[in-house]
Amino acid sequence: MVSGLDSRKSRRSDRLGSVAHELYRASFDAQQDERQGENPSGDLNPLYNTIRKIRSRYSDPEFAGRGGMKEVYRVYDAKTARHVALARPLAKHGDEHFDAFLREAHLTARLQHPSVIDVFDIGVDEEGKPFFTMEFKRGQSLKGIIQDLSEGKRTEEFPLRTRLGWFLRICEAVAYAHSRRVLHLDIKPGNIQIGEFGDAKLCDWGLGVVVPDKNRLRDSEVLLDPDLYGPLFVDVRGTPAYMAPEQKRRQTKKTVFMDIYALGCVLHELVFLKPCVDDVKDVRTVDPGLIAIIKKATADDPTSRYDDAQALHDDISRCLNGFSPAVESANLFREMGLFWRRHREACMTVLCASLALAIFIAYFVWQLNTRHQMAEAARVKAVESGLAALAAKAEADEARLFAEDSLAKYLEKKNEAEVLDKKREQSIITMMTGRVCDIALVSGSGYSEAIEMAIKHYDDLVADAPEHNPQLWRDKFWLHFLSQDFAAAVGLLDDGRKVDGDLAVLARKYASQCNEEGYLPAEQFCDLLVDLVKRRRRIAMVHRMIELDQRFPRSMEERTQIVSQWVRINNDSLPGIEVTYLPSSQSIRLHGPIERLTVQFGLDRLSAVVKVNLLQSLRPIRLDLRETAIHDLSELAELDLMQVDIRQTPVTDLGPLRAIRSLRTVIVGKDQLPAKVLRSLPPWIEVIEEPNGSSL
Amino acid sequence: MSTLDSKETGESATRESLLRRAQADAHGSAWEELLQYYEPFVRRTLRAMGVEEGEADDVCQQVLAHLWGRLVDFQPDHERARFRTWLTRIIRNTAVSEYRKRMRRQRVSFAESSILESLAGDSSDIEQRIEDEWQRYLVDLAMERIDEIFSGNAVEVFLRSVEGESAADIGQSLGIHVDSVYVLKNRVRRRLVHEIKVIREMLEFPS
Repeated sequence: MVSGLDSRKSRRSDRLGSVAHELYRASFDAQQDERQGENPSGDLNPLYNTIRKIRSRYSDPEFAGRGGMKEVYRVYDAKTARHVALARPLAKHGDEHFDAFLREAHLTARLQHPSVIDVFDIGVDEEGKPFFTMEFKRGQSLKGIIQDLSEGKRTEEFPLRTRLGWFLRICEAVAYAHSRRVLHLDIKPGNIQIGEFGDAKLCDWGLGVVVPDKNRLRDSEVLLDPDLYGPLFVDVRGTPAYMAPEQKRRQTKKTVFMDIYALGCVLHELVFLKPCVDDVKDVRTVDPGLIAIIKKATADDPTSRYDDAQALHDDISRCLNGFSPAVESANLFREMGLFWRRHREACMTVLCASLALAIFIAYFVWQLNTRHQMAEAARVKAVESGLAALAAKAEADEARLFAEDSLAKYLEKKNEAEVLDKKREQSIITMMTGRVCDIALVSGSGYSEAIEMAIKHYDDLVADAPEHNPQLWRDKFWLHFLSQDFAAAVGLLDDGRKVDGDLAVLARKYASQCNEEGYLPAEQFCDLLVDLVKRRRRIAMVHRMIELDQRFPRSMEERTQIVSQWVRINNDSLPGIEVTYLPSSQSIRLHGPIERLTVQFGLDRLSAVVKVNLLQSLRPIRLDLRETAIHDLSELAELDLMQVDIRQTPVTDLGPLRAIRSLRTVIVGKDQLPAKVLRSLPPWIEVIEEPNGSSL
Repeated sequence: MSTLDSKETGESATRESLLRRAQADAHGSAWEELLQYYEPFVRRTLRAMGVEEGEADDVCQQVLAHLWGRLVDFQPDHERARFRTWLTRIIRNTAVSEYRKRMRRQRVSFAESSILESLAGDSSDIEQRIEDEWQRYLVDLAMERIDEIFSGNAVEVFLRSVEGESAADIGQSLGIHVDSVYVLKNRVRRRLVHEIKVIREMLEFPS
C-alpha cells in the first residue's frame, strides 16, 4: 500500500492539491458529527444504515385473504424492501391456538421446493401474537384463472398445454412433500398460486400432516402432529369437492392416495374447466390419454389410483410429449397419431420424401413399362416381319424351287430334246452306215420324221453316188415299204435293185391296193400285217409300220380294227378275240381269250429287248379286261390308264398296278381278291367292288 | 454483514491507537506498522526540502531513528499540531546536523549550502510546508483506500470535478448520466473525508 504511494504521488498531489487542505479540514467536521451521535458512515452505507434504523419491519398491511384459521395480509417488508404475505391467526383464536397456527408455518418451512410456497419469517408481533411471512405471489390463484377460462376469457393466454405445465409443477411439489412424509390433504385450485412467470406454487399446508416414519417421529415432527392441536382441525377439514371418498370418513388413516385423488380432481378441472363432480358430456375433443389419467387418479378405490404423484406426473409428461400415457391402452392408430404429433416435421419430411420417392419410382416404372411395351411392340413387329420374311423366304424358296424345278424340267426337256436329236442323228448315222431296220425305235412323230429325213437323205446319197453301195438301195426300199409307199418300192424293184425277197413280193401285191392318199385301207393293212408275221415273223417291222401308220388320217374304227388285228396276231389268232374302242370315254374293251398285250423284240443289235404294248397306238385311259385270260397285270405297262376293270380275270397280284402312276380306280368282282391283296394297293388307287357283268 | 462490521471497527480502533501503541511498545509490531506510514512521509518531506535522492535514504533513517528514540518520551499536549511541530523539528534538525557532518567531512556543494540555508531559515515557514505536506500525504493515503472501495468511474468523476470539469462534460466524456455524476462525486468525497478522518485518527495524536 505504501510502496505504491510514491509512484502515484505526483498524480494524486497534482490533481487533489487544491482541495487537499479542504478535505483534511472536512475530516474534523466528520469527526465532530460522529461525536454528536451521527451515524459515522451515514451516507457511506445507506442500506446498512436503513436496516439498522428499522424498528418496525412490516408495514402497510393490506388484507389479502382468509383461511380456516388464519388471515393473510400483503405487507411491506422494510428489511428486504419488498412485499410479502403475512399470516396471522384469526382474531377469534386465543393463545391456545397459537401453536396450531405456527404448526403450518413449520410444516411449510420443512418443504423447500420451487413449487411450494416459501416461508420467510416466523415471529411474534408487539401484541404478542404469532405471525409468519411467506412469499407474496404476484399472480393469482388457479381458481380465479379457471373461473376466467370457464367464462371464455383468457383462453389464448392459458391453453391446455400451459395448464398441464402448471399441473406438472404441482405434481412435483406433492411428490417432493410425500418424499418428506408430508401430506397436503387440501389440494385444490384455490390453494395453487400461479405466478407472473407461469410458475405454480402449492400453498396453504394448514391441513397437512406428517406421516409417521417406520421408526418414530422426531421431536420436531411430534410438534407437527395435528392431534396436538385440539378441535381446530376437526372444524376445518378440506374441501369436499376435492376429497377422496375415504377421506370424508373421519378417523381414516391419511394416505398419499388422498392427495392423488385431489390431484386428479384438479387435473379434471384444468382439462374440462369444470369441477370434478360435474359430469362432462362432450369428451371427444379431449385427448383420450388425459381422460384415462383422470379416471385412474380419481378412482374410488385408493389402490386403483396412481401409486405416487411421480407416476401421475410421468403420465402427464408422456401426454404432453405426445406419447400415450402408461394408463392408456392405446391402439396402433392412436400411437401412430401421437407419433405424428410428436414428430410432425420429421414425419412431414419423411412423408414428402417417401411421396417423392414413390412418384419417382412410379415414373420410373412407367417409363420402364413404356420402354418395355415399345420394345415388345418392336419385338412383335420384328417377329411379324420375321415371319413375313420367313414367308417371303418360303415364297422365295418355293419360287426358287419352282424355278429350279422348271429349270430341271427345262433341262430335262432340253436333255430329252438333245437325246432325241442325238437319237435322230444316230438314226441317220445308222441309216447311213448300217441297216435301216436297225433305226432306233422312237415313239410318236419323231419316228416318222426320222423316216422321212432318212428317205430324203437316202435320196441325196443315192443321187450323189447311185451305183456305189447296194445296201443304200435296199435300205431305201425298206423305208418306202414301211411308209406304205409301195409304188416307190416297186419302182426300185423295177430298176433291178436287190432287196429282201418276201418284201419284194408283198410290195408288188399291195402296190395296187393303196387308196388315193397313198396308204392301205384298214382291211388290206391288217392283211399285210398277217402276211409280214406269217413268213418271217417280222414283229418289229409290224410295230414300226403301225407306228408310221399314225401319220395317215384314219378313223378310230380303222385304227381299232388294226389294233384288234395286231392283238389277235400276238395271241395265237385264237377265235373270239376282239378289241372295241369307245371314243367318248377313251376306253377299250377286250374280248376273247387274250393273254398277252405286249410284244418284245430287239430294236437293234446293240441295245436290249424292247417291250411294247399292243394297244399303245389307241392311247386308252380306261381298260376293261373282263372275261379275258390276262393274269399278269404287268402287261398293262406303257399305258397311261386311269381305270382298269379286272373282273372275271385270273389276276391274283395287284402289285404291278403300282407302276401305273396315272391309275386311280380298280374295279374288282365281289370276293374276287382277298382283302389283304386289296389293302396292298397304294392310297391313290380306289378299289371298287362290283358284281360281275356290269359294264363300264 | 455483522462480522464485516466488527472487523472494520477493530481495524479502525487499531489505527486510531497506532501512534499511542507504538509509543507504548517501541519494539512491537505497532512501531513497524507506524514506520510504514511515516517513512514515506519523512522521505517525501526531505525531498521537498531539497535533499538529493541518493542522500534522502540515509537522512530518512537518521530521522526515524531519532523519532523512535524520542517518541517514548513525547508527551502530547492538546495542541493538535504539536506532534507534527515536534516531528518537523526532528526532521529539520536531523537533516541539518547530517549535512553539517558531511560538510565537515567533505567540501560543500552549492546545492547543499542552499539546503542548509533553507533549513536554517524561517522555522514557521518550514513548519507550514511540512504541515501541508502531511495533509497531502494523508489525502493520498485516503485515496489509496478510496481506490479499493469504489470501482469504475467513481474516483475519476470525483477527480475531474475537483479539477473543475462540469458535471455535464464529465457525464458525456465518461458515458454516464449527469445525476450519477453528482451522486458519485458526493459519495466519493464523503467517503474520502471519512477515510482521511480514520487515517488521521490512526497516525496523529488526538487533538
